[in-house]
Amino acid sequence: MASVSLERLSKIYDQRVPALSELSLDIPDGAFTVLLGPSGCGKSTVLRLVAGLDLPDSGRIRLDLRDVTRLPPGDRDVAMVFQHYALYPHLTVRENLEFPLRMRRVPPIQRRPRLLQVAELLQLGGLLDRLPSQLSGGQRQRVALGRALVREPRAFLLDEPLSNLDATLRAELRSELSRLHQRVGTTMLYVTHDQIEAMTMADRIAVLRAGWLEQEGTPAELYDAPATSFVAGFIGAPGMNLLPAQTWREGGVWGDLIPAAWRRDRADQAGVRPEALRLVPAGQGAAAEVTLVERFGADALVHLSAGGEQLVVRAAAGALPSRGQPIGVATEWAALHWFGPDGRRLP
Amino acid sequence: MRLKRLLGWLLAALVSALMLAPFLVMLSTSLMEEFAVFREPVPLWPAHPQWQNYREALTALPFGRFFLNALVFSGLVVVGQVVTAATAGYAFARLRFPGRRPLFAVTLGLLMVPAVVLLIPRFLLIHALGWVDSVPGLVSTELVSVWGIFLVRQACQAVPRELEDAARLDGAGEWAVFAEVALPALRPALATLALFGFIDSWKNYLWPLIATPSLDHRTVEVGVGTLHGLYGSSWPHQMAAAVTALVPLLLVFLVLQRYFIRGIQWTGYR
Repeated sequence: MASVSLERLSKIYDQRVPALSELSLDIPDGAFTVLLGPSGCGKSTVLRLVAGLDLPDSGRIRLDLRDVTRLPPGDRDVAMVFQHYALYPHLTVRENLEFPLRMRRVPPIQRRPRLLQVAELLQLGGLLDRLPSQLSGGQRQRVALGRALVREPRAFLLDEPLSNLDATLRAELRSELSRLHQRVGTTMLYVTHDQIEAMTMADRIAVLRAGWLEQEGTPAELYDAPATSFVAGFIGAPGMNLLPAQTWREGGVWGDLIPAAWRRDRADQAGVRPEALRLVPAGQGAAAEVTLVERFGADALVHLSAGGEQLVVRAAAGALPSRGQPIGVATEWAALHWFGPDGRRLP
Repeated sequence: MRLKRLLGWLLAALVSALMLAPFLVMLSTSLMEEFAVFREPVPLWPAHPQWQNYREALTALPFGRFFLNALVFSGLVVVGQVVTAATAGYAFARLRFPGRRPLFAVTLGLLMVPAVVLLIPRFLLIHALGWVDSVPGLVSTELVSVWGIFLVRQACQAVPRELEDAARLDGAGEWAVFAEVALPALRPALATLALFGFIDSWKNYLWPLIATPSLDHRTVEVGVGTLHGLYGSSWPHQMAAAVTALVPLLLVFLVLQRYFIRGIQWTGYR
């Protein structure tokens, strides 16, 4: 196990768009850290740099205290699980699992117990003599995990490992991965664009956007106190409602939701989570119109519109309004988040 | 829809008949009496097949030796072309080295040089090395196939890069990445190349003719040609030798025809 430390990492591909700009991040020993962001934000680049598959243009990567920035991938003692599994198609499951051991010249007599241990941990026992083409998506993913586990690396890198699976299997493997992490306790760096995966699995989340680190912290910190309006909108399903100042300042439509006494002078945007909003009878709170009701069984998302702005409210499943109905919406002062003109959270 | 299919079949049958006709003429001629060929009209099939034509033709010259020579020649060329194309094609597809693009362009450009133009320079080369009329002389200048390099490079690009990255992380060095991961994925391409290499070498006439002045190292194709000089006018004997020379090719093609088709699909060139 090892801590991973990234110091001012930058990478530009093909001398054009910077994929990563001065990224600094400390991943504690044994932590499950998720790199989260939309596609093209540089999160996979971070993994490739840590793995040694690409070299950074500047900056440093340390595993524990050892500088591994220029070390070839095989010498870093990190394992990676790829998005498309990257199982060797001509080798059986057993041979796939053995491959990293064979490449590291582990004697056959030592390979067997480790292989069996991993096969048992991931329930691969019955599949050892099959080829990858004879496995289901979930089984392939398990083999890919097994191949990473078998050589007991100091850190795991996982590049969107669940994105090719269907929703049920994804949820299943999500909890399986969390359990696995608890059992082996190895440092994990997990890349995803799915904020549910991030929120449910991570000890810590780093949100990236266009090559820059937006915020790093525990899932609760990111949810309760997003550092930027981007993080506020990205974390949560759905994300935070963000209302530009002109919609509530000086008698805007949303002025009734955010009374003058609550307003922050330098704020450019006010944010409020869907669950911090309350539906009230028309005539109270801010007046809006219901545009859509999404029912989830236990609760529902009610989409409201007024003055050209959309707002989502999470409401209990009981008496839900219908589409087109005029309605009021209200909130608490303490539930509001304020963001300045640069998108940063106001202290 | 049915009519369209029927027309398709008819067209295919017609083209096949056109392609097959010369072979059938060859076969029937090989079984005719010596002068029956000049009769008007030429019979489609001999009334009394002359099977001894085969024995006579194949014993007039050391054809056993020619077959062995052709097998050695084709075999060595196939091994050489597979090795050079696999390594060079992979390098062009995957490795980053200075001058990679221009070098590949030049390599591809060689496809445009007619083989005949290179005959004399190649002969001068093996002559200077003292290899005329020897196996090294016959084989050495045939060991690289530009088409093969192109084929392997194309096939490499269909292999997911993730596989090679995974192998690097698993501790494989560059050579192991090539040998353990890329090469198995390239097997179909290499089988295709081997097939084409074998066929091309087997039916190569001009180069073995020039490179081997004596009978010792001549191949079957040259042997059939030599027979023409010996049996100047006996078409049945020449055709008997030609039919025999064709049999190994036919067998190889029947067994491996799917690779043949794949080669054309991958490179769009033949």
